[in-house]
Amino acid sequence: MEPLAIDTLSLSTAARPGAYTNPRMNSVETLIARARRDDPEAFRLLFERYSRPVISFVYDMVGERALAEDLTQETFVRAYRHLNALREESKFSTWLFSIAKNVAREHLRSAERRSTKVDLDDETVRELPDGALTPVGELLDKELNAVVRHALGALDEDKRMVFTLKVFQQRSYEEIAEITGFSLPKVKTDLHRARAEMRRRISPYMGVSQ
Amino acid sequence: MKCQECELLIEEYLDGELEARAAGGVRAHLAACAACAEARGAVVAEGAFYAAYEREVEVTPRLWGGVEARIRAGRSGEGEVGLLQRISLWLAPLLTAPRFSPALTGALVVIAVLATVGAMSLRGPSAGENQNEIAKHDGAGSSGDDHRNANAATAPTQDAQPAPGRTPEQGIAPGPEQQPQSSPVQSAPREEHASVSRPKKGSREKISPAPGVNGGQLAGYQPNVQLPPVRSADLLVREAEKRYQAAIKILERDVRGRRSQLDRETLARFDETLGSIDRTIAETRKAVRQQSSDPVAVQYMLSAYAKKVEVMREMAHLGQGN
Repeated sequence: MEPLAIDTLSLSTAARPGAYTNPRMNSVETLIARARRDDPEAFRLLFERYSRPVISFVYDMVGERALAEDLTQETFVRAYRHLNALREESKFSTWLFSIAKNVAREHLRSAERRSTKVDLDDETVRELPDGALTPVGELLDKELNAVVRHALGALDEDKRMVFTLKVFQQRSYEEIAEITGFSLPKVKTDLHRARAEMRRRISPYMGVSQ
Repeated sequence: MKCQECELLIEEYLDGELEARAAGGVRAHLAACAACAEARGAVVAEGAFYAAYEREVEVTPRLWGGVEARIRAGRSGEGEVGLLQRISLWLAPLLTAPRFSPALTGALVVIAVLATVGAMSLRGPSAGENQNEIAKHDGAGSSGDDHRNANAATAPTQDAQPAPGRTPEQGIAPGPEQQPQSSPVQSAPREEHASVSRPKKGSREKISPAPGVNGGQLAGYQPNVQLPPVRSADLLVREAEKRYQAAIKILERDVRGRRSQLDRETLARFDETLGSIDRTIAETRKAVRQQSSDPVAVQYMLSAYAKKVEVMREMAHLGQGN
């Protein structure tokens, strides 16, 4: 038995693309191949590389920190278990995000059935009337973050997903279509509408951030 | 290109999603049209606003710990997994997931006591000779009741939850008649049980069987016994800790005699695991002493004790088998 290596993560380099200097040893394809051969270290490196973007994406979708952590774990566990189903190793990231999307959606659907509203977990976030309130004085960065979070939470699920993948995860339209399963026209339409809605909500605060 | 057309394409243009020809058209229009250039500036400013967005999430070691534990647990479902690996799997989420409620803490206290009771009643043929010693250390009931209690030491989180509407205290101390039929303790005389379960003065009385309990199963416990919540919880924690320490002391004697019967590799692994558990116990005890009301520390400490009892029981059992 090997002791669990739960304290050995190097968080400073976690999920930073290019943080690993030997591309041949640690290319995604190599790591996937090693992980398929039951090399736990390889999958840990994949986790380090992608956990930050995945947890950010999941958090943007569900708006709750603890839940985002749970769902991120679920995402990586599923990825590990279905690693052999991945056909194109070069698209690991897209595949991983599609799993994260499924996990987040499953939760949102079940939450919907329980009639719970997907919202922010931060009680300090203020309600923001759509575009009606002009901020007076200084707003802290934290509050600006809350503005973005609240605006994201107000988007419908599809738009939130597309917006997050584009604006925060820098995914191409084609990748977004692959991750979400949407058609390219729907991706474009949803993204355009999501941007418009977000603009309407954040515009009163835009000057504050400058 | 007209302004209306350009406005529709600005976002795609800035996203780098336009084909070269369309992108060239937008570029040319932006260079010539101040209104559209301003619109582009607004989209760019939004991008900067979003770029400054910081989420309240972090990638912590706990996150990977959970993934790793679940992956290993999945493997254990697929094939043979060694005892110590199972222990590690069981420990990992306990030591990495500090989320629980006062109700869960109460349940854990119950679990802890039941685990001790189960450990002492099932630990082997020499149990009888140690009953008196348990009584010396303990003074309260130490018998199991049914399979639920008998299994409490090995699966404390699955079966030992108190029934709804029941206080934790009510699920703690089974009466003397609740011995498992297969337990070695069963053959011990009734008087011995009586001495084991006889309450002593002071705080131990808090967890002795409630009046009317002796004659029946857990379901027969009185439902409305209440203790002052804070004080009783603290007492129960201390009581559980003492019980674990008593059980460990007894088990240590058994294990010491059987170490020579274990092969070197198994022994080394056991020692490694026990060392790790001891470190956890020391750290969590320190935390509990510093802040006795911290349910996280209490949970960790009692879980570590329970695990130590389980591992030592397994050592004693393996030593017997060899």
